[in-house]
Amino acid sequence: MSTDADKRTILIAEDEPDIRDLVSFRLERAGYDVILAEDGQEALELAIEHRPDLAILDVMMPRMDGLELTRRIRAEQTIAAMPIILLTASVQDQAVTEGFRAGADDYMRKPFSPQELLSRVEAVLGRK
Amino acid sequence: MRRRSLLVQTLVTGAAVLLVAATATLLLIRSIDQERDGTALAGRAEKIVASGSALERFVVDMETGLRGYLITGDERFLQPTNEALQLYPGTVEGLGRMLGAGPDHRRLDRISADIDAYVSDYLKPQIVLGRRDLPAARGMINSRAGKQRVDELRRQFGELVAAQSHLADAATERSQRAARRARITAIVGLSLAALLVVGSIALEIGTVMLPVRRLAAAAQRIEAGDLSARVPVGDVRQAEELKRMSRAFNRMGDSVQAANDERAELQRAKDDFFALISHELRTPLTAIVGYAELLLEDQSLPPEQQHKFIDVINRNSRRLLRLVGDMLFIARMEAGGLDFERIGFDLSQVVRESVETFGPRAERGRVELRAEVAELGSRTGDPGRMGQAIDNLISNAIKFTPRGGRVTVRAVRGEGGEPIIEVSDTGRGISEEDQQRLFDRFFRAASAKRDAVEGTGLGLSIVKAIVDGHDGEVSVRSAMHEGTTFRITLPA
Repeated sequence: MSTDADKRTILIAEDEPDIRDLVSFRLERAGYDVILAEDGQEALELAIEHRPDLAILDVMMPRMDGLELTRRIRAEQTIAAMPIILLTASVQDQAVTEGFRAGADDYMRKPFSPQELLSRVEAVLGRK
Repeated sequence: MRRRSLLVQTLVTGAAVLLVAATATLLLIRSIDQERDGTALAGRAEKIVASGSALERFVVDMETGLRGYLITGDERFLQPTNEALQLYPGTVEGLGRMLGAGPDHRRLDRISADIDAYVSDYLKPQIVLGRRDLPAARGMINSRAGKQRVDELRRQFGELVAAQSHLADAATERSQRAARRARITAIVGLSLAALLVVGSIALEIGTVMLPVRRLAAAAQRIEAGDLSARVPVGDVRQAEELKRMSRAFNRMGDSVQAANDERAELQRAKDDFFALISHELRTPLTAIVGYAELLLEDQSLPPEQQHKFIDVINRNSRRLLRLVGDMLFIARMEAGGLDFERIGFDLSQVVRESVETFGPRAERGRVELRAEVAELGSRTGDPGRMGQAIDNLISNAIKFTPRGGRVTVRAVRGEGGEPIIEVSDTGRGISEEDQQRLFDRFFRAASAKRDAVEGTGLGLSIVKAIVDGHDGEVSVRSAMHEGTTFRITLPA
C-alpha cells in the first residue's frame, strides 16, 4: 500500500457502476479518498465543490460527456489546473487526440489494468 | 416573363436580316435600272440630235450645191446635192425609228414632208431649169425662195433639237436622282442589316452566352466538390432552352447533393455504430479484466468481497455473451441464413423464465418487475429465440425506466385466442418520430443517444426478426413521459 498518497482526493466520473466501483476500490486501497459521480453534470458540480487533486473521467457519459467535462473544468478558474485522466472505450486515435485537445493530461483505453491506472495516477500527481 | 426560345429567336433575327437585305437589294436594283434607263434615254436623245443635225446639213448641202451650180454652171457643184438627196431618206427613216410615236415624230413628219416638198417643188425643178436656161434659174436664186424654205427647215430642226435636248436633260436628271437613291438605299439597308446583326449578337450574348458561362462555372464548381453550386433561373434573361437546361442542372445538383448527404449520413451511422460496438464490448471486458486482476492481486480479500467480484465478472461475462450473440444473429440475418427450430414448447414457461432472469437486474436498478402470465399452452417454434426476443424487450424496458419505476410483463390470449405478450414500462416514452424507425437496425432513439444509455441499436431489430420468423407481429405504443408498451402478437 502506498503511504505517500497523503490522503489525496480523486474524483471518479463513470456511469457504469461496475467500473466506477472497480476504480474506486483500487484507489481507496492505495490510500486515496475518492468522490464518485454518475454523469458529467454531477462530476462538474462535485469538482467545483470539493476541488479534488485529480479527476478520472469516462468519455462516454450521460448528460455531459468526458470531453465536454474536461473543457468545462479547464474553463473553471478554481479547478482549471486539476490533472485529468480520461477513460475511453474508443479504438480510434482521433478520440485520444480530441481528449488531449480538450485538456486531458493522460488517458487509459478500456479495458485497462487497475494497477496500471494507479501507476498513471501516481505519475501524474508526482509531476505536480 | 416572355418565353424566349433560342430557335425562334435565331429564326426571327435571321429572317429580319434577310428581309432587310432583300428589300435593300430590290430597291438598289430598281434604282440602278432607273439610272440605266435614264442614261439610255439621254444617249438616244443625243443620237437624235446628231441625226437631226446631219439631216439639217444635208438640206444645207443641197441648197449650197444648187447655188454653186447655178452660179458657175459647173455640174460638179451638184455632187454634195446629189449625195444629200441619196442619203437623206435613210436618215429620216433612222430618225423616225429613234423617235417612235409622239409629238417629235409628227414634227419629223412635217420636216420630212417639207424637205420632200423643197426637193420636188424647188430643188429638182431648179436643176432641170438650170440645165435648160441657166440665167433664168440664176434669177430664181435672187428671188430667195429657196433660202426661205431652207431657213424655215432649219428653224424646224432647231425646234426638234431643242425638244430632244430638253428630253436628254430630263433623262440625265432622272438618272442622277436614281443614282443618289441607290446610294442612300445601299447605306440605309446596310446600316439596318448591321444594326440587326449587332442587336441579335447582343441578345445572344445576354440570353445564350452568359447563361452558358454561368452553367459552365457552376458545373466546374460541382466538379471541384462544391455541391451547393446552382445557376439562377427565375429572374434572369435567358433563352427558353437554357432555362430548361438550368432547371435540369439545378435539379441534378439537388439530387447529387441529396445522395451525397445520404452517403455521409450512412457513414456517420456506421461510425456511430462502430464506436457503440467498441464501447459495448469494452465496458464488460473492462469489468472482467479489472475485477479478475483485483482477485489475483490480493488473495487475502474477505470471502464476501471475493464473491461480489466473481459475481460482477459473471454478470459482465453474460452481458458480453449476449452482445456477441446479438451480433452473430445480425450477421446471420444479414447473410440471409436465419433458421428457426420448429419444436413444441410452452410459451408461458418461456415468458416466466425471461422475467426470472431479469429479477436481479431490476432490483439493482430499483425497478419493480411485475409479471401477469396466463397459461398459453403448447405451440411449435423456436423457444430459445422466442426467449431472446422477450429478454430484449424486458432488458430495454428496465434500461429506460428510472429508479422507482415499474416494468410489467403480461402474457394473455386475445379475443381471437391469439397469444399476446406485452412488456410495459413507466419510462420516458418514445417520440412519434423515433417510433417510426424503432425497428430499423442500428437505430437508437434520440433520448438513448443523448443520455448515453448502453446499447447497440440491435435489440429491437432482433425482436422483429424473431417475431417475423414465427409469423407474428410486434408493435409499439408510447406516450412521452408516461411509458411505452411493446406487444408481440402470435398467430392463434
